[in-house]
Amino acid sequence: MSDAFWIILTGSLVAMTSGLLGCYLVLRKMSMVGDAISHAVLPGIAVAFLLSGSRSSVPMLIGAAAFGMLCTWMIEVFTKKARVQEDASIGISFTWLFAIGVILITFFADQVDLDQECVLYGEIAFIGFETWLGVPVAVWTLGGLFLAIIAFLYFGYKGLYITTFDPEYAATLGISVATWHYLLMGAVSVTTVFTFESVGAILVVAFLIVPAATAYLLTRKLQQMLLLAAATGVIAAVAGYYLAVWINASISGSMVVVLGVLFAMAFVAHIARKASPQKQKNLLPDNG
Amino acid sequence: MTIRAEHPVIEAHDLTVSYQRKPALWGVDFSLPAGVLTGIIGPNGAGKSTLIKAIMGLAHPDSGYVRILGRPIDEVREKVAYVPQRGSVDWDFPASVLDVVLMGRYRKRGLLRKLHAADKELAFHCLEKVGMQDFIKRQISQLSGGQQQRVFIARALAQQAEVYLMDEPFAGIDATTEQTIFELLGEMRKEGKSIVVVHHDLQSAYKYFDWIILLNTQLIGSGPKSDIFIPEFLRKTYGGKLNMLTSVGELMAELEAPLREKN
Repeated sequence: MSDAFWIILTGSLVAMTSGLLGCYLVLRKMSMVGDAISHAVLPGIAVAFLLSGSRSSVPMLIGAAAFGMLCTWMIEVFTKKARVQEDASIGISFTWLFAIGVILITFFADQVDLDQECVLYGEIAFIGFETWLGVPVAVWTLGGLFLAIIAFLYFGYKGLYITTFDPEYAATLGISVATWHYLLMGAVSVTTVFTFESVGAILVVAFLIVPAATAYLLTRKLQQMLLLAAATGVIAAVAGYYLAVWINASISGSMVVVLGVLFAMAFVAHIARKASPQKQKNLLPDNG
Repeated sequence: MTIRAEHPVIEAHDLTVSYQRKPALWGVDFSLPAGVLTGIIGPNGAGKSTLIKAIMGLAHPDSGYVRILGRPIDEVREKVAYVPQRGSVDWDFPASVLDVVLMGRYRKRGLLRKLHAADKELAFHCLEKVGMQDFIKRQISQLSGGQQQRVFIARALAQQAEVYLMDEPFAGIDATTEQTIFELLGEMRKEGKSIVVVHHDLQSAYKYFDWIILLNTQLIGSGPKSDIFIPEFLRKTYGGKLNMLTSVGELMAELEAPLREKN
C-alpha cells in the first residue's frame, strides 16, 4: 500500500470519528468545550509519557481522559458555583491546562520523545513509519477507536439523544444527565489524543466541529446528520491530501481548508433553500 | 389559608428553595387530593415554576421536603410525568414529532433496549389525543408554538403516569389550542389522573381548575377554588397593583354572571 493510501485512511478515520462526536457537541452548543478538551488533554499525555516512559496507548488514554474530564469539571464548577460566564470559564480552564502541558514537555524534553511541533501541528505525513502486520500503527489505533466510538454512539443513542434535546425532562425520568455528559466528554478526550498525533492540537477542533456544523446545515434528522458529518470528513481527507500534494503544503492544514470550503458550500445551499418559496410553504403553521 | 387533603397525592412541608441565596419559595406547605385538576397561580417571579421543579426533584430545597403518593420523587418517577416549559428546549433540534413523543417511553423500556412497535402505537394514540396524529413524521423545527406544546403533552401522556405536572402549558398559545388542552385535562381527570398546572390567566383558572394554589414566594392559599379564589387572597397574591385589582374586580363580576363564558 502506498503512503498516500495510509495517510488518506488515517485522515478519514480521524475525520469520521471526530465528526460523529462533533454532532453531539454542536447540538449541545458545546463546540468550544470540544476545543477546550482538545487542548486540555496535553498535560495528561505528557504525564503519561513521564510516568510510563513509553508511547503506548493505554497510559496515554487514561491520562488524556483524566485531564479532559478535569477540564470539563473545571468549566462546570466555574460556571455554576462562581457564576463566571461559560466562555470565560472555558478560556481560563483549557489555556491553563494546555500551558502546563507545554511546560511539562519543554521541561522534560530530553526524557520524552514528544516534540512541540508534533503536538501543535501533527505529523500525519509520517504515519507510515511505524507498522504492525504491514499496517501503520496509527491506522490500527484509529480504526479501533472508530469502532469503539461507533459502539458508544449505537448503544448510547437514546441516552445521548434525550439528554441532548431536553436534559431537564431526562432528569425527571431518572436518567443521570451528568453521567451521559461525562461519557461524551470522555469519548471526546480519548478521540482527541489519537487525533493529536496525526493532525495536532490546533486543528483537532476543526475536525470535531466543521463536519458536524456542515451536516447540521443540510439536514434536520439526527441519523442523516451523523452520516453526512462522517461523509464530509472523508471528502475533506481525500481532497485535502491531494490539495496538499499539489501545492506542497501541510496535509492536515489542507484537509481543514477543504473542510472550510465544504462548510461554505453547505452554508450557501442552506441560504438558497431557505429563500426558496417551496420550503416557505412547508413552514406555514397549520391551524393551532 | 391552607385546606389539607386526606390521602394527598402531593404534599409539601415547609419547602424553601433559593437561587443564589434569594428565596424563590419560602416555607411552602400544602397537600393536594388525588384526581383533581390543580392550578398554581401567582404573579411573575412568584416561584410557580420553582415549585413544580422542586416537586419533580429538579430544584433542591434548602429546607423542607415533598412527597408524591407518600414517597420521595425518586421512588415514584414511574408514576409522575413532567411537561417542561416550551421555551426550555431548542426546537431546531433534529427530531421528528414521533422521536420526541417516544422519549416518554425511554424509562419503561430502558435506555439500552430497543423500543417496541407497541410504543409507536401508543405514541400515535397520544398524538391523537392532542390532535397531532397527522404531524407524526413532521420535523419539530416546523411546528407552531401550540403544536410544540401539544407534542410535549403527548410525550407526557406516553409515560402513562398517574400524576402530571405541567409548567405553563398555556403560555403563548391560541384560544383553540387552549380549549383542546383543557378538554384533554378534563378527560384525564375523569380517568382519575391528578394534574398540576402552572397557570397565569385568572379567568380561565377559575373556570377550569378544581383546586387552586395561590403563590407569591410564600403560600397564600391552597384549597378548593371556591374557598381560595376570593378577592382577599387574590389581592394578597398580586399585591396592591391597581390594574391587577381592576381585572380581579372584573373577574368577580364575570363570575357572578357565568353565562358570559368565552366561546
